[in-house]
Amino acid sequence: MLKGIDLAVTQGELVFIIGPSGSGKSTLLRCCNRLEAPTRGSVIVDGTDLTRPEVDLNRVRQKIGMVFQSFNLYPHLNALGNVTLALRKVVGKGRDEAEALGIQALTRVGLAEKAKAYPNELSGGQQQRVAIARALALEPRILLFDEPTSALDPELVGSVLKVMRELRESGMTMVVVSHEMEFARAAADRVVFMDGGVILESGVPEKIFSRPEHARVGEFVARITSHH
Amino acid sequence: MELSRLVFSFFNAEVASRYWLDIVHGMWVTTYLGIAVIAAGLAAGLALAMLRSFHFRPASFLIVVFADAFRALPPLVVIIVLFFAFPYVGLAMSAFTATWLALSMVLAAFAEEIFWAGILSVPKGQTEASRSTGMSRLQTLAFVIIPQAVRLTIPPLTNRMIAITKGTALGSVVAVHEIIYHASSGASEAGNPTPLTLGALAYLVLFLPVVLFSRWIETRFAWKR
Repeated sequence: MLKGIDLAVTQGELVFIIGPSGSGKSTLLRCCNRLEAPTRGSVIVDGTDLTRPEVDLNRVRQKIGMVFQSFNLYPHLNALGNVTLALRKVVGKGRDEAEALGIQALTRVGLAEKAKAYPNELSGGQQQRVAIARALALEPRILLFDEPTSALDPELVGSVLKVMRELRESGMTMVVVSHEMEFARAAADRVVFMDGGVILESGVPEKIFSRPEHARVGEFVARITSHH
Repeated sequence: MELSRLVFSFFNAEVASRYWLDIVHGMWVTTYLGIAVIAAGLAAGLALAMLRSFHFRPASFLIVVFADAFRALPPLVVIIVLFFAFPYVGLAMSAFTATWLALSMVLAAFAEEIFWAGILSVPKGQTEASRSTGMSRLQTLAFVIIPQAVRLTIPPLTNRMIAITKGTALGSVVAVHEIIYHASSGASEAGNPTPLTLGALAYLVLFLPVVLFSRWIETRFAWKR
């Protein structure tokens, strides 16, 4: 699927990954927290090589937040329960402390007042923001976004992007797989174009969107932008 | 009309007054045997389903063999083998233990399959989300997957639990002093089937509330997403 990827993300950087479906964007992202295991090579996050057998994945994953296309909130827990589960079971916080941290995380995504609501009582955009809060509560060093707005109705996309923009301003390191070109143009430090399991081109948004080296990149950008 | 003979045979007050205490004693045995079977069978079934979800091939294979064998075997055969054959290999057990063990294993086999189906029904994204926050496989199973799977398994599980607790009647074959044992031995002793009528009443008294409760719990846990 992936063939020789060489990508370094520095602290506080927002790297945007674009490319046609099947190009390996999601696979690359899922290698970054070892939901997918690379057959060769290494994945180094915050100085730890995730591909080494002795690495405690459960420990390093706390520091690598992930947000999914379909939110994947736990339907049997309310928003606060979703956000505090790992704090209590993995980090080992008591209920009170976990809930205080959970409310803080929900506040950051603007949903503190929905703490007691269950996922089926929330809109798609609210669910995705709770999912972001779930990742944030663990104070991650990096956040991975796998098409975070693709499953949302168009009018709900804005609220999620707003939260992502605020995170970026707070200095969070982020890797985002998405088709939100406007957002990439405005917020990304670097845009990476993938095709056929390789990085075809990467650079600042201005370069990728306006003066790409490869015709393939220009065609893709034009096609996606015309859809929006 | 043979109505007076029917009443004499099946609703004989004099015979009933002699045997009702035995039947009540049988109800007590049926109740705690049933509860012991449900506790052990559900716990074992859940443990097996959880073990199976780790996808360790040899273990999964053995679990499937166990589940298929004990779903196929009549519980009576299992009771008889445990009670009459196992003493020859040095594993003698009381009639009560043999009945409890046999029914528990049969319930465990069915419960394992039901829990397993429940576990499989939970979307893969749930596991991924949980693992991405650093939760271990076991924590993911315990706090994310099982709570969702259980709601789905409640209707088939309650039906199976009712069926298996009625199976305690099979214990009468190896002389466990439950309802049917007292009813049939009373009937032959008195030369009158009224104790069997009392036995039927005892089952209604015990199981109607359980059936009604299962109805209530099924609506209560109806899934909303």
